[in-house]
Amino acid sequence: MPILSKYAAFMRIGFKLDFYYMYSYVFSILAYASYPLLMLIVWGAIFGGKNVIIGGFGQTALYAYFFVAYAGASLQSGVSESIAEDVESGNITSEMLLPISYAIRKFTDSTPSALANLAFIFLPIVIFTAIFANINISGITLMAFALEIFLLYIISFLIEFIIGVSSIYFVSVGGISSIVTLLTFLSGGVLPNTFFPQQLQNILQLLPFNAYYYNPAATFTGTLSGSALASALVIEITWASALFLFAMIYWSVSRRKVVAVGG
Amino acid sequence: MVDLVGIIDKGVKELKFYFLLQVYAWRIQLVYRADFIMYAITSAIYILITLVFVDVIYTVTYSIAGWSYFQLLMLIAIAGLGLNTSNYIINPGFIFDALWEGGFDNYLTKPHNPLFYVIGESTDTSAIGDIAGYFILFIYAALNIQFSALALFAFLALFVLGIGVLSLLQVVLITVSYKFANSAGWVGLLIDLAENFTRYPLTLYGLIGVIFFTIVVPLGIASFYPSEIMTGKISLTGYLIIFAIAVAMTYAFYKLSRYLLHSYTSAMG
Amino acid sequence: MEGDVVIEAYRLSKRFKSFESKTGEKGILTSLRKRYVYKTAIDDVTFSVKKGEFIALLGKNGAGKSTLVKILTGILKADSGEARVFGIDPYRNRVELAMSIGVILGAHEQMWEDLAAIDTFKLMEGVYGISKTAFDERLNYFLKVFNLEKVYKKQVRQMSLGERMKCNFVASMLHRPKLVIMDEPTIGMDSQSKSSLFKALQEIRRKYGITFLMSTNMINEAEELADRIILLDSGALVFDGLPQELITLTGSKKEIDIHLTKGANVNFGRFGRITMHKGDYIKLEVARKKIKSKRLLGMLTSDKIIDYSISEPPLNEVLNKFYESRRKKS
Repeated sequence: MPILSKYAAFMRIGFKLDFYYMYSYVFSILAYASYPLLMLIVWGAIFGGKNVIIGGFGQTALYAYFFVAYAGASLQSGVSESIAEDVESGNITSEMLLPISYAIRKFTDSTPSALANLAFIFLPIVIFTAIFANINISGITLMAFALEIFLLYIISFLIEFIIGVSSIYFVSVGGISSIVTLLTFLSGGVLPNTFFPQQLQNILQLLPFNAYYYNPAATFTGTLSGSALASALVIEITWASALFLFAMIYWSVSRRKVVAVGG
Repeated sequence: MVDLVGIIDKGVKELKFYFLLQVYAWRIQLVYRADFIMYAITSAIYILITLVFVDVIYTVTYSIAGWSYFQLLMLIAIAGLGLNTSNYIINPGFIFDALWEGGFDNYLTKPHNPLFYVIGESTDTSAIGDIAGYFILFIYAALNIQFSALALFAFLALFVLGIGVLSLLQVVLITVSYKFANSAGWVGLLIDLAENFTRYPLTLYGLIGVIFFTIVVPLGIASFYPSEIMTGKISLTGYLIIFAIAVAMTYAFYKLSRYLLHSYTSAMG
Repeated sequence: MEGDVVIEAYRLSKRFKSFESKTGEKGILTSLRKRYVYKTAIDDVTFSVKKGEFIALLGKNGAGKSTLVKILTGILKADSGEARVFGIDPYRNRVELAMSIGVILGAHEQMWEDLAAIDTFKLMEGVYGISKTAFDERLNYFLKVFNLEKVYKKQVRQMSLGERMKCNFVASMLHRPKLVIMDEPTIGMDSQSKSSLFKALQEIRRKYGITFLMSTNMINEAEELADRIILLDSGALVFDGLPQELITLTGSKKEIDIHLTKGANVNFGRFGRITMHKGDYIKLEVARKKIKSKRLLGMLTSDKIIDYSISEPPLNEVLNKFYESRRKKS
């Protein structure tokens, strides 16, 4: 299972991808594909060539799950660190003086790399997986998948933004950040949720963290479908809206504190 | 003539100094108590998740590459202990920043070995949560496995050596970063990725995997091989060979990092 | 006298490799195609420092001051030439030398930000192996001299730059070094903090007879503190002598920007040359000596003046005048 550590931050969008240098690009792809590769080996030993269903997944489907889930990790936002840095260095006050809203600035700053990752890391891995795992995906499911990818980025950005703003109150937010990372891994990063007891699955369903790994990956493999998929999407959209509202209010209250303390 | 008394005396002094640096590392950590507690809690929960993961796997199979449930737990515990102890001792980001921004200069103006000093100050106290958690897992696994006192002793010897190799590997990677790249983020990432792989029996990865994790990125010396001792899977010859490799690697990495450090020209200007 | 020489620098030279990588190309091996350019940092520098002297190492940015400081403290090795501090080769016997020197690098903080200043001081007790009684006694003295008694228990993060820099000094002097080397310690400090720092250094110098070497790019600092100025330009030592000599050679003047109250009528003409007069603003060029004139100061602080500021001639100008005067001689 993935090791929680301070370096997990590099698995998110904070990882500086410089396509200037080929080796850096290759390294990034390997980074996102390495855990799925490990799962391929380990689960290969577990399945032992038998044609069985474990936790609702056949062997190929389980592989596909991990590759898509971790390709999705490349789209997660890492903006909390940059906000915390702005606050600590005091730069945030000068940033706030610019005519563009700080929050929007942060969003537009991180979106280009997200799009780059989408094009050069996520899509290649997903397409590759679709071919090798013989995934047939219907038009509607594809739209649902696209929506989930979009919400993955939005929800992770909003949560990261909220954590970053919290650094105005707590000098160090590494602890909060690592708890969030933990919860996201729990929601489908370590194992598909279907492996967990039903009660745990129910709880996870109500939280926003399924958006990171489980929902997109399970939609892709067809495990999450029909009404379950529909309700998952509804929950995600609700969370995205709630987080957005909270983030806006939280920020407008907090920015006053920054100005009050002085730069 | 080698001045043995002088060397021992100096060694004791540096050890006392290292202990002082530890005190200071903890002082700083405790300034951010809440953060520290949260890290500790997440480490604990993470290890629990690991336990759940292994439980799930073993409901559908009774062995992975010949390793039973408790044997695999033992491997995971040892791998976790090894890597996190090494992470505790050395924080690559801290050291790289000191080199890159020239703060390393300050270590060079003090009456101590600068590498030793900067490593001491880089102590990452937040790793203690993981160390404690994996230690508990180790005890849990150990209670369900048979091993002799001799095996325990042999295990400790190789394990401590393995941590040394791992730490020196990190130093080498940091100095490589300094000489050829302009960031050290990839070092931690690389170690993380590799650590995922060394939590499972290396035999899963074929001969290439075994060679890679024994000699190229020798994480196996701090995880797989010590575990083989505790689970009785290694022969005496095998043990001696691995031990010799570990000693050779320690020496090689030490020399390599010293050589790379000579390119430190301090920040210019 | 031989025994009195603290620093001996003989024909020191050092150059650096710097990289020029090709930009604007997308390619697989771009990063491997780099070109090396050699930059001379210091070139054939020779000088010596005697016990108890205060030497200012003066030069523009990039003149080689920092490089020279780093060679003398053992951080860098010179390409050629010899350096001896207390008779010791700084690079080869770094640890031994470290006990006798205190180093303050203006660009690199050594204080632990998250702890109180006193904590870093106590750490130095362990770093240098200072006895408790000596430590307590010296700490009390330094806290008094640097005026840190009210703030030394504060978290360093919350201190002003001036306070922090003073703490850096204390941390580097607790082991009572015989030589204190400073590399641009006053960067970013306001003039009030600077003058209280300088006062403290002068007082410490009087009491302990410590030798000081300070690098700076500000001629007024050098003038105020140093017995002797060593002037570096592009790595070469161009002047080694008394501050007075340098000032006479460059005949530098100071410029005062004066903001008069509306309609005030003040005649500054007898103090120097008025180079600009626009409305209520006057630029006055004054000989260095005249700055200390009580009459001038009296006029500047009268209520006919809203504000004034005295500016330094830039080091560039000083250097130009210096070369000019040398040419005239030959």
